[in-house]
Amino acid sequence: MGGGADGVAYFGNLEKVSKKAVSFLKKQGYVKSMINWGDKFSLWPVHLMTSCCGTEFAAASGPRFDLERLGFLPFGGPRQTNLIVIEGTTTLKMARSVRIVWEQMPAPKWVIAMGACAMDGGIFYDSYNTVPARDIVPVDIFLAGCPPRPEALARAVVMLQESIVKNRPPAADIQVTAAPATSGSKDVVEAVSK
Amino acid sequence: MTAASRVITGITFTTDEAKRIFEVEASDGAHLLDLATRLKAAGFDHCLSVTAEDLGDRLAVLWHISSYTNKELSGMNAQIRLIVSKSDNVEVPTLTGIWESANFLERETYEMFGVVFKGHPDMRRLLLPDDFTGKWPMRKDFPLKKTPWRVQK
Amino acid sequence: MAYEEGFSIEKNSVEGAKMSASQDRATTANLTYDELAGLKAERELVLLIGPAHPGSGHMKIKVWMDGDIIQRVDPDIGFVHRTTEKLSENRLYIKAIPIVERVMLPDTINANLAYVIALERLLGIEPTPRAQYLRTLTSEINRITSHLYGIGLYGIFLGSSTVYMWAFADREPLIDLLEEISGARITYSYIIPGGVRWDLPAGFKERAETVLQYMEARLKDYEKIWVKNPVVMDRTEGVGIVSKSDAIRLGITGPNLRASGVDYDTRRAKPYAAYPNLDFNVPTFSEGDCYARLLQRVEEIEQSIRIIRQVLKDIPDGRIISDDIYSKMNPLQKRMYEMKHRVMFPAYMASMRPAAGRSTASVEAGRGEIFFYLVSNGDKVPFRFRWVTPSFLNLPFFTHVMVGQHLADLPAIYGSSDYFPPEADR
Repeated sequence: MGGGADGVAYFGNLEKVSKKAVSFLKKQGYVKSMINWGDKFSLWPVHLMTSCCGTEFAAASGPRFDLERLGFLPFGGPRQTNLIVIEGTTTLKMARSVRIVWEQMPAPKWVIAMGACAMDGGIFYDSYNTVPARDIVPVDIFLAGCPPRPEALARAVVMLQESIVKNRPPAADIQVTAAPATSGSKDVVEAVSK
Repeated sequence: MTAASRVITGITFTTDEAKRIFEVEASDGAHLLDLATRLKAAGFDHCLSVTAEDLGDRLAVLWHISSYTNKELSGMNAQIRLIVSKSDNVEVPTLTGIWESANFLERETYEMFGVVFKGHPDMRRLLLPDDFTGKWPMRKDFPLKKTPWRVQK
Repeated sequence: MAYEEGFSIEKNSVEGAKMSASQDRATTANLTYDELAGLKAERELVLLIGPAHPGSGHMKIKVWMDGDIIQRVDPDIGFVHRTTEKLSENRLYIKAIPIVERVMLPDTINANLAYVIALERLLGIEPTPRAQYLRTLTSEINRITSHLYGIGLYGIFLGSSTVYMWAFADREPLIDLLEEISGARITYSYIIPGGVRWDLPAGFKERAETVLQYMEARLKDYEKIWVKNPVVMDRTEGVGIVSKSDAIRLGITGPNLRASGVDYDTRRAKPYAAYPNLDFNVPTFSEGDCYARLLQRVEEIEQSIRIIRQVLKDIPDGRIISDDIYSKMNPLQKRMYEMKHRVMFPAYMASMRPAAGRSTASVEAGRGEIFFYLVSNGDKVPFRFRWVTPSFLNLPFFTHVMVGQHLADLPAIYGSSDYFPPEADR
């Protein structure tokens, strides 16, 4: 760092230097762990009630179970959020909306598939109008139950926090999904690891 | 069904009191409109359900009606039944002109059974996605997705 | 006071809107046709709301507006259409119970009850008196939780998180009562053909009385902070008025119908369970606006509390399952029943084939009348399984009631109708 005659400070190639600095800092465990710590307590789910598990999701945000103490604060717009809780069945009509909302969210982002229907179709497994969640978006946590109790949802959030602390990458980073299945075709997920 | 009949408001219903069935059969479209007009005048003021039954080569279109205001009729779920031959697009007259509450119910019956209600103000799909390729899902020949997803993978 | 004098906006906003409209006309009189068309295009707006919006479940609403006055609304529903009718026509009779429950999740007992009544009429089974009272009891507890759910979500719609928190907290003791009876939190599958699955646990009456007293005390608090809240009253009074004749013509159902002054309750008109033996009022309001619909739900909670007290006082002793079903149990199941007052399913439940015939059933759920139409052709699956849910019947709230209102009133009207999309889409 040197000073010019005209009083301008020269830093060299600022872009290059900053990239080097970032990559240096990222290798230091403590910065990454600090970022993870921040992510852990700011899991903001987008307010996207795809189905009937939404009532239990609402109860979980209510005062008895109070998931806000885990930093779990439902939000209206997808731009401010980093978590989708897919609450139950997703229909063909809704699949596209879920995908659009997911694509609007900034990275890193996580997905919890809540309920048996989101896992594998559940009680509606042979319906011609439903799509399992994993065909729409990459899923991090599958949560069983029909509907899962709010305690179970809290457990899923805690598990997600643990996986963040253990520095596991979100499923969005390691999976490439097909576009959401439309009415005619049943696209199958291509799980491509990096 | 036990073949009992009861005359209510001048119209003969086939009834089964224990199963709460009060049915009147319409022979054709003109008769249906005439029946509906008379039932409306008698005090049946709203439509509870519009649906159809797939009887193989025929379709039975059903309107379930009841009354909010007439205390004698409000205990009944009366039904009007019209049997038509089954084809790709069955046409029956709409009863939205008589009971406005049939509006969404007839739209649902259209997309599920392919019954086109002639004269309906807004005959469009309601529940299914716009690009749904299958035809008339509630008919008996429409297949379910038989295999669970885990088998496919 | 100076604040009020200095403010020129009329209290009656309708007058203000009329004045500005006439001023518009005066200033646009000299414009050419093209300029006018441009102005009109500027005023006319199409707004797409949803499907993901922070309300109850989701649906898409397409709103055509002139300025901020709603001209036309096209509700695009079906985002939670899970084809329950088709699925139930391919399942055993008993397996349709969980399916109908999943559709009406805040109100599962009533959905379950409606289906089972239709099925019992097909089978020709009559439940025992004790089972009838237990059905009424659970149905009314569930009605309170359903209304609290509606009140809580209405709080979200009007921007009051406090009421959402209160209502969802007050749901919990009632849900605990149902959990104590049936073993499940939300999806009880409690009512089966011929009776119910569990008897009342010991000490239930005392605990229920505690909860009811708590609920009554809380209703007074709701009165203070929610019902008589000036903000709530300003936003709901005179908004989204449904006249009595309109409500009947459009086929609106449930509390929304009674808030428009129609004295119709399925529990009275088409009696079922133990309701003919009970004494309760059917509250009605003549205003038909959003505020009346809000008050209607609060009044109905009070009536439900009254019904629950009567049921707990009058409940007769005896079996909770009818003799038809009891006689089909095997000895182990009978012994289990005598020991624990718990019904284990006899094999008959999986193999029942009602004689060919048809039946209908109507039940008053939290949001209105559920209608069932079952057809059997003697097979082990229903030949035709038709049901209409109250939210589906309340769809005219979008197409008719919202028209002519301000856009800002749309959430108030939506919330007041207590519309629950999964229920409407089935």
